[in-house]
Amino acid sequence: MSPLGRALDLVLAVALPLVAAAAVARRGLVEAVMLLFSLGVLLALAWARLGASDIAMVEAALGAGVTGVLFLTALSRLGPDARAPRRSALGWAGLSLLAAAAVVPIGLAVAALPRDFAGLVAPVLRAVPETGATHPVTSVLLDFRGYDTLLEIAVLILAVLGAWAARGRDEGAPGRAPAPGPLLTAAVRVVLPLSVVLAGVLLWIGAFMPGGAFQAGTVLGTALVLGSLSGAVRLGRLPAWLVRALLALGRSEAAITTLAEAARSSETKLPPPPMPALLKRR
Amino acid sequence: MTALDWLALPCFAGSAFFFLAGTVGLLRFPDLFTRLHALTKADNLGLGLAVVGLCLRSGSLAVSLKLLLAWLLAMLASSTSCHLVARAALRRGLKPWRRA
Repeated sequence: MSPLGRALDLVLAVALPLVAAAAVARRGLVEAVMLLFSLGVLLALAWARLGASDIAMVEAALGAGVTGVLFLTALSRLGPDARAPRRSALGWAGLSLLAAAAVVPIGLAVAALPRDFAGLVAPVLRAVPETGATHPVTSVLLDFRGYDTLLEIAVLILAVLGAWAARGRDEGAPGRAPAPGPLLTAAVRVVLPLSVVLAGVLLWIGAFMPGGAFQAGTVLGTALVLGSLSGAVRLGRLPAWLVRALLALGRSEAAITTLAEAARSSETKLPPPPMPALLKRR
Repeated sequence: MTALDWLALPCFAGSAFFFLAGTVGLLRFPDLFTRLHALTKADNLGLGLAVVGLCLRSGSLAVSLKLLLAWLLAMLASSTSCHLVARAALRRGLKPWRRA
C-alpha cells in the first residue's frame, strides 16, 4: 500500500468515529443532518478504499443522498431553529452502553472469525454463470438472496402501511414549501434528466460491473424527491386501488418466484460456512 | 514521470492551494455570505484544477470527459446550493456583513 493511501486510511479511521459522535452530540438539528451527510461521504470513501465499489456507490446514494434529503425535508417542517432536547448524564450513559452493546459483540465476532476461512468467494464465482449476470455482486443480489429480497419487500410494504397510517392515505404532495426560485428550477431541469439517464446506465452496467438495480433505484428515487421538493415534478396521484393492487402484485410476485426457485434449487445449496469459534462453544 | 505527469503537477499544487484558501476563508470570514463566497469560488477552481491534472494523467479521452462532467455537475450543485443557502439566510433577515 502506498504511503498516500495509508495516510488517507488513517484520516478516514480517525474522522469516521469523530463525525459520527458529533452527529449524535450536536443539538442543532441542521448541523446534525449536515454531519450525517459528511458521515455518508466518508463512509462511501471508506468502502471505496476497501475495494467494495458497489457498497461505496450505495452508501453515497443512500447515506449522502436520499437519507439526508429526507431528513432535510422533515427539518423544513420543524422550522429553522429546531433543536434536540438536552441529554441528561443518564441519557449519555445509556447511549454509551447501547453503543458498547453494539460494538463489543461485533468486535468479538470479527476476532473470532477463523483465519483460514476462504469465504464463499469460490462457490459464488462457480455459480455466477448460472445467473445470467457476469458481475458477482449483482448475481448475489439478484439471484442468491431470494429470502432476503422477500423480507426486504415485506419491510417496504410495512413502511408504506406505516406512512399511510401516520398521515392519512390520501394526503397529497408536500405542503408549504417556499417558491423554488428560477435558479433551482433551472438546475433541477438539468439534473433530473441526467439522473434518469444515470439510473438507466447503472441498471444496465450492473450486469457486468459495479452498479445495478439497487443503485439505479436509489438514484432515481433521489431524483424524484429532489424534483418533487423543488416543484419541478408533480407526482400525479395514482388511484388508491391501483397503488394497492401494485403493492400486492409486487409482494406476491416476489414470494412466488422466491419459493419456486428455492424448491427448484434446493439440491444445489451452498455448503454451510464453518462456524466462528465463538459460536461453536455454545 | 512523463511530460504529462510533470504538467499535471502544478495543477494539483494549484488545486491544493485553492482548497486550502477556501477552507481558511470558511473558518475565518466574518459572516455566512462571505463564507459561502470563499467556499464555492475556491472549491470550483480547486476542483477544476484537480480535474485538469487528473485528465492529463489519465491518458484516456473517455475518462477525461467523465471527469469534466463531474466538475460541471459539481459547479452546478455548488452554485445552486450556495444561492439557496444565501437566499434562505436573507429571507430570515440576516444582514450581510459590512466593515465597521
